[in-house]
Amino acid sequence: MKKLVFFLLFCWAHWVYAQPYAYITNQGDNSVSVIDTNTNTVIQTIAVGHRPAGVVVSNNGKRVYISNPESKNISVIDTKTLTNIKTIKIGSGPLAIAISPDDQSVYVADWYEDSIFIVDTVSLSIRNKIKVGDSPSGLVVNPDGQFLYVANRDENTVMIINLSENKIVDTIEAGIAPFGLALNTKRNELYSANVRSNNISVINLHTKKIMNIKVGNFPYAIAVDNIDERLFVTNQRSNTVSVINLNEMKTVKTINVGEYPEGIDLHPNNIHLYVANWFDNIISIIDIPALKVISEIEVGEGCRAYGKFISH
Amino acid sequence: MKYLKLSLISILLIPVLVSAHGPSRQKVVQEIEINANADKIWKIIENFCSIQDWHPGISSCNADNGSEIKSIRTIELKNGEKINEILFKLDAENKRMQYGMQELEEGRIIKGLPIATHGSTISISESEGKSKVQWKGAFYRSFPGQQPPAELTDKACIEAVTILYKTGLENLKKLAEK
Repeated sequence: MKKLVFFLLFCWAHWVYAQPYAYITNQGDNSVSVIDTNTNTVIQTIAVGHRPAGVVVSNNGKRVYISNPESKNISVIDTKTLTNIKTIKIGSGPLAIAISPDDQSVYVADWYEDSIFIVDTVSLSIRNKIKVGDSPSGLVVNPDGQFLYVANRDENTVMIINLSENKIVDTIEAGIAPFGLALNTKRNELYSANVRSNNISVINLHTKKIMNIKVGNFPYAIAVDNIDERLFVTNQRSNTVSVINLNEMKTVKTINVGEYPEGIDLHPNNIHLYVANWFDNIISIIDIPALKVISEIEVGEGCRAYGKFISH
Repeated sequence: MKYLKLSLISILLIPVLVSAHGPSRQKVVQEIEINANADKIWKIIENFCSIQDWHPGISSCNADNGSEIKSIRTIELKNGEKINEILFKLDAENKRMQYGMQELEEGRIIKGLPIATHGSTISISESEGKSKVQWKGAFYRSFPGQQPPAELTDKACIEAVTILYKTGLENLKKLAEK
């Protein structure tokens, strides 16, 4: 029965989304590799700014926004033509990047200015700037667009910003050096990957209580599997992905991937995970039912893909 | 006096407002072909502190727990700088050693090797009696600001690590081919 549901979901996914693409930032090549996930081949390489790291695909699939920390700007990619249509100057060190559910606002965390820049996607200019904690590194927006969650790496906190007033409404202590964030609305939980304490903080957004789950070394980014209530976490120094069962609140499996796995994203078919291995310049594709790597794709130098990099 | 002491302490407790390292992680890979079997080469490097014997750039090494996982070795460079490194993995079967630099104290920059958060792997593979030794690592420049002086740039760091790996591998080749 479960298999049938998966199969139907799979067909449905293919019917609705003709071509989900994965947009991979290549830090060393100053480019983005575009992968057609139907064929799992690189169909285009797009030049962007200097040392691209962060990425987010708009919810309508029309645009991709890339953060370039060393040229201090973001690149805007049009997905129809697969070209870089605009470069927007941002602060001093733009890294993490996220988008509002209505695609009207892009949020960019600036590592040096300890701020979040809000970019208007119509005028393609900065609309606002919010001061946050030390070295903001991870961003996630909740599905109704009301709250933005920020991981402040160098002060071990996660902040909640109310987006209707652009105000910080709560600051929560997480593990040491929180980096990647992920949200699970079904369980009303927020997760932070804590690079220095080698664990995941599970934050109950109702009670604000925290539970930590041990993973591998230098956890970096998190993907949520809503169907089976699991988390997938890249561990940079262990060259693995930890699988966390959220009902048992523990790591149930460790999958070997390439070296320095960083960005991780769930394909809309809910069957495949894409993982960017920074050292090897390779994307590993994990089959979720089998919990193992089934394929690899060569991309550019120093792939990071930090953010939601697969179109829906 | 008590008041003075308290204010001194509070000055010390003011958080440093810069990040711990540069913005982009860098990588270096060095390889060398050695005319010796992999077992012979592994014997030279398998002890975590044997690096003081085979690496000409390292004058001494002390480890707090030998070659056990999580053992911390303190290596001393020729210029007197000391660095603590932790053993992550020692895989004798696949002849692979993985270690990483212990986080530096806030603001410290190692003279001659201005890097931070260094993770490194040495591995040996063998085919037809010849071996290939690969030494690779990932690191950030330790200069945290946006405008590093020439000797502390990403480029300078890549050069320093390349020299560290290269001189080590060249001497390892000499010792193994003896």
